[in-house]
Amino acid sequence: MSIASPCINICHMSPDTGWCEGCQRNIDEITCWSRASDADKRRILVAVADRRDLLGLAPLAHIEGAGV
Amino acid sequence: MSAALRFPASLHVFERGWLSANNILLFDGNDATLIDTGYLTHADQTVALVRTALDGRRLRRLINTHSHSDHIGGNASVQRAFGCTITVPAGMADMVARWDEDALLLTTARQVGERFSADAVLDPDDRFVAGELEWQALAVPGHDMDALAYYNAERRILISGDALWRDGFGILFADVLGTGDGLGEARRTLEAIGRLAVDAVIPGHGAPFSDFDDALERAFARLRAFEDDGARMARNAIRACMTFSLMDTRRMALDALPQHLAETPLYREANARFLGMSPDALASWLIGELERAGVAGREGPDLVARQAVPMLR
Repeated sequence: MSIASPCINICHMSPDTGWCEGCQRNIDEITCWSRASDADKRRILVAVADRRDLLGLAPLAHIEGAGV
Repeated sequence: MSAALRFPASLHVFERGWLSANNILLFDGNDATLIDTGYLTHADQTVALVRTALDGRRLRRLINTHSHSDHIGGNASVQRAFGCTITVPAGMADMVARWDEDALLLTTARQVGERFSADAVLDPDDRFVAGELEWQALAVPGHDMDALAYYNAERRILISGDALWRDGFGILFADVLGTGDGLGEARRTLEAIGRLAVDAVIPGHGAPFSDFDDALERAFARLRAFEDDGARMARNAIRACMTFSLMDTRRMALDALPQHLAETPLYREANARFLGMSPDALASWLIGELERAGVAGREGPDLVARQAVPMLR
């Protein structure tokens, strides 16, 4: 099974952080997701988890199983 | 497993969620073609994704797979941002020209869109070049009676829209609403695309996938279940459509749900034709289903969208 996208359908870029308000990826990370290797996707998910932590947001429930 | 599917460098897929369909950007030198633009409320992000990937190249043309709000919602914004032309399946040209919000299913399911004008149309079997590949338009009625899929025989790539996903296909609106034979058309569509040689599918929603035969098998199984049990099809449509609405609005007053279900054509028709439940009973059932699936939960007087990957099948 491929690694699930962290998209939660709140697809707005925050002007403050430059991250999506839903999944905390930046534009480059969203643009390249489909072409990214599994290693790169995991790296992005780790960054997403860090950013959510920084923002005081709960982890994304549906990507817990992604090995991050 | 998992090696990401390897597409030509001239073809980029932006995997979106469920409220916005995937976008496909195809490059021919300094020119580019975009297929589908997502939902209206995500249009700014769609434009930002396209601008980043274009990296100075010019978006000349936008092509849609079908007329639904999660595929055409960013059309007007993308055209404003990049000055591209818009090409739509010939069957939807008239409803776009008149901006018929019933035919576009906007009023039917309480969705939003922004009016645009089409500059050109594609008929079934028309061919065009995008991403240095020749694509053939294929009629794929069922979920949308005028929908087109785009097939490249050389690289065996199928851009399937909502006619085929890795696990299922889009709501068969015609059957739910009683306006046509969506089940029969979907069966003929699956049989027709099942005769193609396909190594990679770029669906309207979800990640691109390579297990085409397994996906077809799952789609046929689902179709059989719907053919055998219309009530199951209706329940699935109601769940999927409310999930979509909650992704859009994020919350809805629990008290208002029975009336919402009674007044919104899709729920009203699905219930009247297949279920025969009272609005209150339908609302109670639906809240339970959405909670059970983790799609939504109660917060005080409201039903609130959760993060979970929703069941939009």
